[in-house]
Amino acid sequence: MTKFVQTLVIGVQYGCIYAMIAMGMVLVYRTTGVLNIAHGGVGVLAGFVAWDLNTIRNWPYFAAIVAGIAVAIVSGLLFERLIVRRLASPALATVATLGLFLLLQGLVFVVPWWGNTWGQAFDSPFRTWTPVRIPGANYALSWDQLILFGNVLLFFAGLYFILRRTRVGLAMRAVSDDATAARLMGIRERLVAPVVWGMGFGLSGLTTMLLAPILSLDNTSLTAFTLKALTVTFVGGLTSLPLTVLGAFALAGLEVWSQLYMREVKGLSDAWPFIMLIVVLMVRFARGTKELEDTAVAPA
Amino acid sequence: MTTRAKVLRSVGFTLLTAFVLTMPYAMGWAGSAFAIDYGVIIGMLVLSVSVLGWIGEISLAPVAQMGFGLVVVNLCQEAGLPFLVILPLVVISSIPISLLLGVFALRLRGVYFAIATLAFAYTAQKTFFQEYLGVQGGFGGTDSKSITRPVGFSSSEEFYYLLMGSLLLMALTCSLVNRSWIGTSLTALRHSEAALSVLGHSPGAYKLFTICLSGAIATVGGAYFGMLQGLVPSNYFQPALAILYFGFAVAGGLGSVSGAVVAGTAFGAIPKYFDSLSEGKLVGYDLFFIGFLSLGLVLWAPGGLADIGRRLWRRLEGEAPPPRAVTGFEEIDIRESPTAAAEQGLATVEAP
Repeated sequence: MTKFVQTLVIGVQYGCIYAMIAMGMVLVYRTTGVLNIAHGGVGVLAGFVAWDLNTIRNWPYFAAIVAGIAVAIVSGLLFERLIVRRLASPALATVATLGLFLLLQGLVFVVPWWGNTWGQAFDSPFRTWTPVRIPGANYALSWDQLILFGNVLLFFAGLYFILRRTRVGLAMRAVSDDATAARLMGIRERLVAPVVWGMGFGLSGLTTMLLAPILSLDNTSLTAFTLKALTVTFVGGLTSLPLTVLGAFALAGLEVWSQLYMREVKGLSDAWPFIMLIVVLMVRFARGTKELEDTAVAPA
Repeated sequence: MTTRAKVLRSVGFTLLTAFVLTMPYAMGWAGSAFAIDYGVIIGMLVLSVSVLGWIGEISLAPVAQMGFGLVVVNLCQEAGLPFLVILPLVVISSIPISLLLGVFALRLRGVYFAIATLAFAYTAQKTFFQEYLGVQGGFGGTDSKSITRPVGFSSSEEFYYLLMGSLLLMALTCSLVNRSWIGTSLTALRHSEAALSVLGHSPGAYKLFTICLSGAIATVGGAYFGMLQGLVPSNYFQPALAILYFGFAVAGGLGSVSGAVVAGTAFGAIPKYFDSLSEGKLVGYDLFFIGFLSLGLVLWAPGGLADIGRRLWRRLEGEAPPPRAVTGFEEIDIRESPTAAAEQGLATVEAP
């Protein structure tokens, strides 16, 4: 029983990581049709800026992370203004995010004092707080992990609320569904797009701030999590937030379960993203969907 | 063709041939011939990525296919097979993996196919390569044996000629395919799958053919990579590297054979030379540079370096430059027309 509860707790912990990353990517794709491959790269840049301010320049922790997130948001606004707006199609913008990913990865390496060849410790003030013991699990969760969990719930509910219940969300969905019709209805696409990119990049920065105290600030591992989160977005067809979050927790749960209970089957825990993908495809085919095509136009 | 164009083409061809033939020695001042060998292999990988642009797809699996080539070479060398037998076997061995990816290509498009190939590459690296190659790149623990180069090509300079010959052969094959009726059908496929079907062609067959061609190039590239390195750790097949190679393909001009060969070779070799000249102080600058270049090209020259080169050459020949080449990326607005997005390709549409 103890092992089972442990599986659940650790699964939820990793699920939060995947969910946080995947939600940011789904938000941008759903509202712009652009797959933001640079999501992880932006987060890493924001994380290193915050780490630099806090560790090297002795800024207070919270001021540093706010500055890091601000850098991410400004990057999003600039990227939208200087690049995305000039491109003819979301597919071309997707390629541009790939270029941005490489640029940011390189930028983190280029700053010599960031020493990104290895992970940097970026502890939060909550590290000194007493961990919370989980009854029946012989396991304790740090406050950083609990805050991550709280943020996943908060952002899932917040994004869902914004997209479904606010005028900004309605405008985002309208532009996504039919940009021309949205313009005719008086929605100014040029005001909506920066909001989406600022939110997407800001969410990426925030995600890194939440993960860094748990995983350390490491370019390679954060990129690996981003790639796995990308496969999670597949579950929700890159458009559904609830299904994406469900996929994130399912993937994490399966990984942890196979690590704890199926140790003898080597490589199983790492094969889950691919297995999950095949299952999603089979379910879709069973429902009569012959082909899965790019479409940012999904029912809310 | 004007006399000026003929003279220019002759001079250009002669200079290019001389450059290709003397490359390992001509660049000796910047570093060892290993750098250019590495670049040529990256050129093969980028070509394999770029070829998929013909069917309008992005694959992040070539890095994994490259890894399978390495494993096949190891197994064949352990069995004592000669190089001339190994090479065809490597090509044949690429087919099952390519067909597996092909199944996804028949059902998925655009970013969904890209994500599927990413999941495949991730799983292959974490399950198979990490187990088989390990962190140190050994095959089977302490009894591991490194992959050796073919007889007569043991030095990096000698090996260069084998690699360059293979790359040029691959590029020639791709060019011939692209100019044949298959290429015409692939262009039709990018524009309208339905129309191609109505004309009695099977879009699936063309897709599978292209994926197999791309897979064979990547797998042979992996085999050569193993021969170049000897022992290759599993982290050389990280899926994130595929994003970098895709960036090279974009910079070269997605779908362009010559662009992929030049961009892959140059962007693969130049960082190695810089590493050598700077004694390792410039690590990471290549990513920054490629990212910057990719963004710039996407904005101002979506046809990539190939298109820029083509236009410059036309100017040199005294002819009016062709209209700027466009990529399928520019033609699609998936928000407005999902079907068109699926039907349109991502490959470079070369200007007439």
